[in-house]
Amino acid sequence: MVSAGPGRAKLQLLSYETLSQYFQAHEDEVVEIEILPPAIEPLGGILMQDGLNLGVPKKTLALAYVEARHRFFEGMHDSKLASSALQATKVMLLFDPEHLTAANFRKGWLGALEAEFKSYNPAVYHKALRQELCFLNSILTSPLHRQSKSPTLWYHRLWLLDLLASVELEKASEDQKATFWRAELTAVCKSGEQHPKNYYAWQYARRLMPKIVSPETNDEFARHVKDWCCRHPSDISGWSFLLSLLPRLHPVSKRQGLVRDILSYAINLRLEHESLWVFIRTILAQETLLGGRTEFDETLQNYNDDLGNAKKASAVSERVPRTLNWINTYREAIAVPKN
Amino acid sequence: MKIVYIGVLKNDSKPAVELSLERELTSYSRFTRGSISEFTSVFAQTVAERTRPGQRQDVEQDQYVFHAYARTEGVCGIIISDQEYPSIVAHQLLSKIVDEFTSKYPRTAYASATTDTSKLSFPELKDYIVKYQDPQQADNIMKIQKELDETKIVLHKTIESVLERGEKIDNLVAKSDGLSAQSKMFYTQAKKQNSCCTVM
Repeated sequence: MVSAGPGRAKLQLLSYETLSQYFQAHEDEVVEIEILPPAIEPLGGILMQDGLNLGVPKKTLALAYVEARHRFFEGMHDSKLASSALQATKVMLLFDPEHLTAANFRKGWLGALEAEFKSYNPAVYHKALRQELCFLNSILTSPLHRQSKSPTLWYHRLWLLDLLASVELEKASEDQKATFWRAELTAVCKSGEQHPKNYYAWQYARRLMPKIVSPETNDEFARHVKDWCCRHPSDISGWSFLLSLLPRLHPVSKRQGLVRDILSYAINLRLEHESLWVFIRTILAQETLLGGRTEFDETLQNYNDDLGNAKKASAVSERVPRTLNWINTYREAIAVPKN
Repeated sequence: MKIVYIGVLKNDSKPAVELSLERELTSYSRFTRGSISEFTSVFAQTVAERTRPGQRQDVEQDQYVFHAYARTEGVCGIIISDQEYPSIVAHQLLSKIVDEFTSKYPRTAYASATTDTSKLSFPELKDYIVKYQDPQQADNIMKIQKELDETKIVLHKTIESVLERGEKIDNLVAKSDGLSAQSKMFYTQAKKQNSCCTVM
């Protein structure tokens, strides 16, 4: 670290301003931010930029945060400095996504904007909401290990989404609505990829579901999440979200179709991932599939017999009998999921 | 599940030489991609040099698995995937690739290859690395090659365990010509912080 003194103060200011300007220049775009490992040093020492990709050394970020925090607490109660405080919250949340005061300040600002502009100049308000979503997307879907599963920011997004939905969805066509929700799921999937088993991202997706009324969107979500889970079979958070999605599909044959695909995927590729098998055993023990379960029981039993005949010990050959055993034990105990 | 690297290497003498290769690194962040790319090649060579003709092995290193299959023709196929990718599929794909490669090029075509000679054209790799990101695509080759026996694949838990006595991965990295000064520093620092998963 740079020692205290005028040199450090200058660097602190420069770090903050460079980072802040980058945010300002890309207000309307989703950027990808990464923390550079110490071995990669940017030319000029502050940032590395390549279009929508930003690389920030940890030192720069820490220095910028100190400056941002200073500006924020200086400006948060002073209406003349409010815009500088607002700008500072972006850098603060990038460094410390759990900074509740900073997140609340942004909420307060959007709330004030709603009161002031919603009726007489809605475009200004709408644009601010969209920019906020871009900012959240940039932080939540970048390869930033801590930030991508920030409960504060995912809650902030959920709050924002209600405002945005009330502006955009009232007069929207079915297609526009579908696009709106699809964008949210895409963000969740991307964040889930950046940080595996990202419970907070999937929990956000779970909270979206009651807001979605269209059965087509439900179907699309289920298909999309199923594909995502098959590509990430050890991600228990993804699988449990899929478990919660299935009872929303009607008729039951759609649920059965998805489970059939997953089961044959697991069998054909001889997958042994525990999370995948937890999904299989839970869905087969629940009543979500109703009468379709017999077919799956048979498939599983046949697979178990095949593995037994092959007489080769492997992780799968232990996984399958245990799954069958679990289903038999808990089938009666699991209550009917209410829809 | 992803495949990061597919390559065919000449491994009948040291150092192993990459004859054809493809990488898929778009999921890596923009500024570390360059170093990751160098590491894929260096570690692929390291594993290929230590795979005997006819042998199949899987070498785990951090969140990656190096799948290797060497042939008597003096070539070795290497696939680098993440831990989730099914090993059996990777090996089916390796058989297919090495078969196709050896039927396309006679041994004389690559016997004198060195790191400086140009790569042999094998455009199929580009299609495979895209197509087989989804292992379900392998259904057909799985059916054809039923005879592949999973238990024949030797599993190593770290790259160190394929090295010979006295060899150290740190020294191999330090001596490697295929790594830039930046990548070497990247490796040392990641190791120091015990966050090797950010490298290979």
